[in-house]
Amino acid sequence: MSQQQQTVLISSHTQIGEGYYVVGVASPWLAQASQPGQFVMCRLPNANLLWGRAFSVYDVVGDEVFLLYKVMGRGTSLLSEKKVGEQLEIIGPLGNTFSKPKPDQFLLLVGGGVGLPPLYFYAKTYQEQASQMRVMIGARDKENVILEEEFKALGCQVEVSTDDGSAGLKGLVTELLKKAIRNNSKIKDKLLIASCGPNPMLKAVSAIGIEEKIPTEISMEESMACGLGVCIGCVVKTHCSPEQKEELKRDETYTRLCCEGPVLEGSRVIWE
Amino acid sequence: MGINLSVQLGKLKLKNPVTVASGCFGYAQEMESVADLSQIGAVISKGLTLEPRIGNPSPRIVETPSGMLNAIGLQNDGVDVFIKKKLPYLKENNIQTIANINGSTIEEYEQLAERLSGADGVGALEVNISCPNVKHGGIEFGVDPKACEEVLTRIRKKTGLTLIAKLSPNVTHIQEFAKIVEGVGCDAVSLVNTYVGMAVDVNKRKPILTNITGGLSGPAIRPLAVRLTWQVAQAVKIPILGMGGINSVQDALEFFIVGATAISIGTANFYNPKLSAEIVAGLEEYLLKHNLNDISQLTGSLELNKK
Ligand SMILES: Cc1cc2nc3c(=O)[nH]c(=O)nc-3n(C[C@H](O)[C@H](O)[C@H](O)COP(=O)(O)OP(=O)(O)OC[C@H]3O[C@@H](n4cnc5c(N)ncnc54)[C@H](O)[C@@H]3O)c2cc1C
Ligand SMILES: Cc1cc2nc3c(=O)[nH]c(=O)nc-3n(C[C@H](O)[C@H](O)[C@H](O)COP(=O)(O)O)c2cc1C
Ligand code: FES
Repeated sequence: MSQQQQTVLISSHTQIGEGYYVVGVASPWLAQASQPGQFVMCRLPNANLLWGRAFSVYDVVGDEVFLLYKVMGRGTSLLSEKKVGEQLEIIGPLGNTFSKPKPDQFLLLVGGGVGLPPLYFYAKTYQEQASQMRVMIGARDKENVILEEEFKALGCQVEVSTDDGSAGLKGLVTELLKKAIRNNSKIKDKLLIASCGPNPMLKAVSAIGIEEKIPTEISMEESMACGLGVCIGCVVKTHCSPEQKEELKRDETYTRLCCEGPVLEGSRVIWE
Repeated sequence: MGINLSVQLGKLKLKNPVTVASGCFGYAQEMESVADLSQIGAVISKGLTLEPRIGNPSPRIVETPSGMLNAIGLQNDGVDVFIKKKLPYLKENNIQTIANINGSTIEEYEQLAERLSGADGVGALEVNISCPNVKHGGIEFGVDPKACEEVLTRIRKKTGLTLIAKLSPNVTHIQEFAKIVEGVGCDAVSLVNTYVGMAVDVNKRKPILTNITGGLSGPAIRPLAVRLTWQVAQAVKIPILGMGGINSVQDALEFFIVGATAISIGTANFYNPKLSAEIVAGLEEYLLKHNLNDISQLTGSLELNKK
């Protein structure tokens, strides 16, 4: 389904943690068209910022679409000051989606920080399979563990790891992933990994997926000017598909995350 | 009284003078759901090269005050894929198409001109001799008058299509280059390409762009581009395709008034894909309000204060 540019009204805006907010916007079109893994480019009118900011679709309820964001710099900080009833300019939904799991597949969802919102929408979209989903949340510390209760409410099993041990396992979320794979070794051919978070995490998750021969989808981030596929600014290096190989006469290419991603098969990515 | 917005660049007739700039609108199909393609005077393709180009590693873009730096490095699938896969869409949708060409050598420019002249659906060629982000060719031809003259002379011999030379603003006397463009028989001149700039990550003490430097575009460069358009308008008689930071109807008007025959919208497409249609409507409204019936009456209508 194709994207639209719309001016939308903020319908709700809540702080959910230290620097974390959920903003709801009213848009029947976006609510109906959004698929798990997709994102929007969100621009603040009259803010003197050039580009929109990319945010994943976190949730859809009726005609309302929710974005969960963390204050990082000027754009997100200005956004956090916006009140209910104020306008946002939205282009979306953009990008590709996580794969629909087969009924007998088991999902291992690995996320960190603001990588969790698209995984939540993924889990919610296929909630009838929630008992076959294990969510692993990695964070620096307790304050940065988000959505734990929300995933549990969907019916998923949830585990947490933190760098400083202030919540869950002290260590990396990839340790939880390795353990989950070990514990499910009998149904290994039914496992599917989906991950979104910081690049070092995605790189480690992809490596585990390749080693264990488990299909692994990762959702990546790069700076985006357009979100539409025309500036070619948002690229990561990937192996060429067979057709690309023939057409481009080379083995590697730069893939646009905004339209050919943000979700990529982990084994396609060449980490630079 | 009807308002005439159509303009002529050499042999190329545009139904209106609002085009979208190279590298800022893809090959139009990407924009079909968010822009009104039927309102655009012409689409200028992403920079094409003879062979596919992989481009530069990320980060390639960074936002700056009222602008952005880019160092894409001309990533494109090559001229053959353009002709086979992109051109048919443009033709079917009756979109006037200008192909932007880039060579590392004069021979490459010649071959590109030949191949595109034989392709059905190309309305004109825009020769990019001003790309700041590739190691060979590109900007070398745009900042050295001798090289500029030679490459344009040789391309001119290879094509009967309307030929537009795109100038770099990274020179001291742009008029000198504009005169060369006119002298070798190009039909029009376009300006400006991006200004070479740089941004630093002060925490890492590293350049933000992998390419170190990039091309600055967007509203930040508009006054610079308006001034160069005005200077070139005084130096040559061929039509000018003016661009650089156009973000509103008002901005577009500035370019016409200082001497542009047509304009191009670049960076603004990224965050406002409907801008070209808005400008077409705004130009018509402006002409009506000022009792003008042809956009050409606006071109070069700048009045200077008497000394
Ligand atoms: C596909 C995608 C989905 C995303 N989903 C979410 C989400 O659901 N929740 C959330 O909080 N964040 C998300 N992000 C990251 C978010 O876009 C950035 O945190 C945000 O752009 C920062 O803007 P700023 O002005 O506050 O920060 P600044 O650091 O001031 O931004 C400066 C510039 O850099 C760009 N930029 C900086 N960091 C990033 C980044 N990590 N990714 C992309 N561009 C960046 C900004 O767009 C801006 O142009 C997503 C990014 C992408 C690419
Ligand atoms: C991301 C990006 C890619 C560009 N690619 C090309 C290109 O391939 N060929 C070219 O001649 N100009 C290219 N340009 C320059 C634009 O066509 C235009 O000349 C310049 O950006 C100034 O206009 P603006 O300020 O409206 O963007 C590019 C600009 C940007 C921002
Ligand atoms: S953000 Fe422009 S091509 Fe992806």
